[in-house]
Amino acid sequence: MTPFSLTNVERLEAAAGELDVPFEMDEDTFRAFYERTARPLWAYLARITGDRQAADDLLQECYYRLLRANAVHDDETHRRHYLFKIATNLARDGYRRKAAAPELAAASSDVEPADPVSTGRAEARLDLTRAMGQLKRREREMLWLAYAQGSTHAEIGAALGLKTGSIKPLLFRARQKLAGLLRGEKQGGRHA
Amino acid sequence: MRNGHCAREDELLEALQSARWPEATDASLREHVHTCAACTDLLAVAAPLLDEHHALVREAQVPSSAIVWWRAQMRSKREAAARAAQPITFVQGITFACIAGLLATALGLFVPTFRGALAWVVEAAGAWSGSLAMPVDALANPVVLAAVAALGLCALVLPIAFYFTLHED
Repeated sequence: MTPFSLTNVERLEAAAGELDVPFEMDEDTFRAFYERTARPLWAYLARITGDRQAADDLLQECYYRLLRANAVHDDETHRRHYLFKIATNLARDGYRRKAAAPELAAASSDVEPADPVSTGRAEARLDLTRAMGQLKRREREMLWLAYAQGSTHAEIGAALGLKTGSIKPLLFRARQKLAGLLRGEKQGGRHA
Repeated sequence: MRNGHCAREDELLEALQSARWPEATDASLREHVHTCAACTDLLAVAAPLLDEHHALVREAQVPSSAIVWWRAQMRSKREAAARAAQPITFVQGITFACIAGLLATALGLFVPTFRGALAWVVEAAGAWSGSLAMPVDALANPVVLAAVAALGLCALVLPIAFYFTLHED
């Protein structure tokens, strides 16, 4: 047996470091895909985690996992759904890690308009943030994918790991709940 | 409207997503929304969510694609290097355990104090448990004693070697 020494280890590590680690996606394809998806993905992460800093951190991780998976996708839409599924799972892992803290306690303060165009619009965003903060995690994810991203029920099911058939009633209930909360926020705002 | 759903929801959502609502939409749809609870809810929810989405997309400060690609490459290489080094770390652990075992054997053979101390420990353990498989007399033989000491040390060192091989930072 060849004796191993620290020198051997270092040499092997260096050799592995020089290896070009191939991803299924080439750089040009990745960069074009990233340009089209990074901002909507960041928006999704920021909204469902309620934390812009977490969205920044998770963004890189999502793309790394997408590349590392080396999965072959039928088309860009499929790849995009896969990316959002990764994002959903990573955000859920984040919730579990900080399970002791209220789910969206940070959301009310973190996802506030950075540069509101007008006071009215800023208030509307704040209302939405407060109302979303009162929803369950899955309701937030579902509503965002359906109405902000414009995803179909099948796409939402794939991203959230739910059966397509169950999306319609769940989405309907979540929508009713958010609509009620938003009406309450508006009335509360007017009375205040 | 069936089961709380409305047949014109898709039409309304499409108008919202394409920014045609309300001016550029059919007057019948506008009138319908005023009288339909499902479409009113949809409008109340989808409009602010779409606004929020557009605002967040505008505000997003994402790193450039080149940086994200480069970081992914670097991380992938680092992980590949760690995987490549894993068996080497394991072999080093085994080697260390063997050396420790040999040292213990030498100690057992040549250092009477160590032999005496180990015999005392084994005797105490035997008296406590009353079920020691090896008769205490057997430890009087220095070779057996050395082998026991070597095995004991290996049993201590191997899990540590496994830990350092398999743990992730």
